[in-house]
Amino acid sequence: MEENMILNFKGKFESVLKEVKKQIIGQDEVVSNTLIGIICSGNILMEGAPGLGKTLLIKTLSKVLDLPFSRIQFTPDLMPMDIIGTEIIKNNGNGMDISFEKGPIFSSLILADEINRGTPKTQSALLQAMAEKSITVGKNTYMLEEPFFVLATQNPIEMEGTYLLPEAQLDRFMFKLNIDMPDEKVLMDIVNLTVGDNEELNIEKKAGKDDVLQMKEVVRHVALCQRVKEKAVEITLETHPEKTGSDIVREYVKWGSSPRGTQSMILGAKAKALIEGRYNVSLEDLYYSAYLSLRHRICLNFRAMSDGMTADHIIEEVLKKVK
Amino acid sequence: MKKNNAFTVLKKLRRKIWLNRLLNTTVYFGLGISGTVFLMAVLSHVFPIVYVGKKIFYIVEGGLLLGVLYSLFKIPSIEETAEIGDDTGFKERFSTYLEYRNCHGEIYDAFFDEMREALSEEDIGKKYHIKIDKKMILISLIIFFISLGIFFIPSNKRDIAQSGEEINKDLKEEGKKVENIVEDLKKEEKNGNITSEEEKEMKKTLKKLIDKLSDTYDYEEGAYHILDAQRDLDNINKKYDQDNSIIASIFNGTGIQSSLNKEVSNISGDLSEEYRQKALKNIQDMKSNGEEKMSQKDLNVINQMERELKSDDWKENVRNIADGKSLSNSVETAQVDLNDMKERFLDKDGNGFESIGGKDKTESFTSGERDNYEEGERNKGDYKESIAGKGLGDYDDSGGIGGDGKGENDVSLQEGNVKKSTKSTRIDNEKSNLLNIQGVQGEKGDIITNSNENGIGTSGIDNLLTGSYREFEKDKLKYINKYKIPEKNKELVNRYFEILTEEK
Repeated sequence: MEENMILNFKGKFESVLKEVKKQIIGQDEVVSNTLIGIICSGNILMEGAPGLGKTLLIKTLSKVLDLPFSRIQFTPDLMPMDIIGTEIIKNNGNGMDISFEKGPIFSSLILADEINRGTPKTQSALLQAMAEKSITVGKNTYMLEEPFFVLATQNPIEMEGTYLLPEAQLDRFMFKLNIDMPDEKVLMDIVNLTVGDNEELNIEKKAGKDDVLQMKEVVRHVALCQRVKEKAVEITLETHPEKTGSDIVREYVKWGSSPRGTQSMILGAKAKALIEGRYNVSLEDLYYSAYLSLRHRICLNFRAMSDGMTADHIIEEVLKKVK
Repeated sequence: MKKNNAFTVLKKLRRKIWLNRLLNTTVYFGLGISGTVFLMAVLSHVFPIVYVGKKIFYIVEGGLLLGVLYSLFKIPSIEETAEIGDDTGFKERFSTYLEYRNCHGEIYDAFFDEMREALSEEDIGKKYHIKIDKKMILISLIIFFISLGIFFIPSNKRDIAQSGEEINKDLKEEGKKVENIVEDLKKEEKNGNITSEEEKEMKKTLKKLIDKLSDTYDYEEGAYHILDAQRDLDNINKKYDQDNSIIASIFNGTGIQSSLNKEVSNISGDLSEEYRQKALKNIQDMKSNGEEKMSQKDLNVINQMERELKSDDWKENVRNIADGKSLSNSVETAQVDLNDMKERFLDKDGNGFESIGGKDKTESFTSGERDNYEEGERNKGDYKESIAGKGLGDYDDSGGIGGDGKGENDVSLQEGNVKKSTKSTRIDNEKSNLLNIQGVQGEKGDIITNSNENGIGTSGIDNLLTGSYREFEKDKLKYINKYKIPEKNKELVNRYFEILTEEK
């Protein structure tokens, strides 16, 4: 572990963030959390209306981090082979040969745009890649290069012809981020930046593959005290209707977070501590990370939907209970 | 890595947390104490609680002391202190530090350095504020002052309790006199007049009496405790009484032998040299014939008698031994003192409560308006006088016989139950029922003469036998004192009444 990276983690993170924010206006928290996802080798599910800069964000990050980028637009007719690649017969001059043509998944930053428009079969093609950082085609397994990061987006409107992501797949996303409509000032800035006569922004590389991998290593070593660990476990258990002491959870939650939720919560909290310049995880970091890590892992029942109850409300109640 | 002063900060913080706990616990205990004081103050007006002021003081003092002691044991652990310190906004640095303080590595070094910097920027000790529940303090004070107000309100029950306290103080004073008796016993023991075992048992009895007296708030009850002690002393006397037969055997063949067999203490007349020689010979014979068969107690008596017979003032000593005089004397002395004490109690008991009611109460009493049994009953100390002279005086909340009538109730007097009569003994309530009472009605409406066909108090009597005994006991002692009966006969009379009581 690079000592330099330990001491400069915050600086490095902030420099990347600053560069991205040149391009992405008014989405500081989303940018920061996405960067945390990349550093932690997690995957992020991003939900927001079209045109809020999701694609631009991943493109910009790709430039700033100097990592290869692929975009996969999910449609109902998209097939798994379109993602992972396929074996094709090639004429190599001496005869015909079967070779594997890599799909767009063989990249570092993957944008799975409108993932809920893909069929379950296609969606599940991402499962192995996201969980194991490898894919299997036929008898061959191919390792994906680190860092590997999937940013999946889904549109909360236009639900016709969409396929809700299965719970198993949702669980593989470290965070779920919600992108909201920017306010007036931010919108004005976006207008000025994109449709004015400004020169094209010069986005510079601020970190590389090695930096990202080192940052990932540092995150894992952040000190975590027992009190915070216990609180993380308590929060996870509190999301389960059969184990909670909260009436609201019992009333509205069908099932709670998986252990992956706890892992994501802690890992996110560690990264949050580092970007704040600390080397230990605080409860505040954990509570912050809880929203990001648990909101897509808590499955609400029909009553919750009819009462307009969201996962964030549930998490808020859970946190009030455990604090 | 520079030295981290986290432990110093934690220790300082711990003291502050401890102080906070101490104050808060004291406040909560204060609330409890105030509540208890309030309860005591209210109850003291419902029930006669003796020494209520003192008890309240002890509750306050004890409660506060308990609170402080409880807090002393609630010293926070260093881990607990770390958590509290973290909660002041130190972001779990203390807790993490305690867990990782022995770890080494780049990330931990970075953490320790960052923590040191954070500590230099923030004074956690100052950030932690001692918080006291002011609302609780206010509530406690309000309750406490209300309790004080209630406490100083005069009431009948408080007066009764006050009287009880005075009696108790008096009994405690008397208890000191019992202590003098105990001191005398020690001297007796030192002088060899009684054995240490005897002294120990008597002392135990008398100490028990002192304890009982200090917990007694009624003269009558005090007299009872003395009576119990007297019985115990008698039993001790009997227990250690000598076996007369062994002394009779020693004096076998002498002129005094026949009287010895009956009553050892009757040794009288000349104990001549001839008797002495004979007695010594008897002792030698007894020893040679069956020393090993004798009990240790008998052997002790024989040996002691032998020694005394051989001494110069053998006549007096032998008489003392034969009489078992020393123990009897000690017991007798104690009994006399205790008797005096008992007499004083009974005398005071007769007058003790008179002051509460006063004379005007007697008037109320005759009008049948009184509702206080105790006061009414004790207004007339002397049973016989009350019945014969004032007639109505001794009855509970009624006009007595025939309501306003003045009657002869010899039958009641013979039954000895009138004093405790209840409604069932009354012939009528407010008006005389001429069907039951045959007599002449006076000008003022009172019955001058009457004769009652049915004995009053023959039914519905719920009098304790001990009450009767107490009355007899009182009369008997007066009689004894009046005619100066010898001490032994006094004891005989005492004994008589004891047996009488036991039989009943």
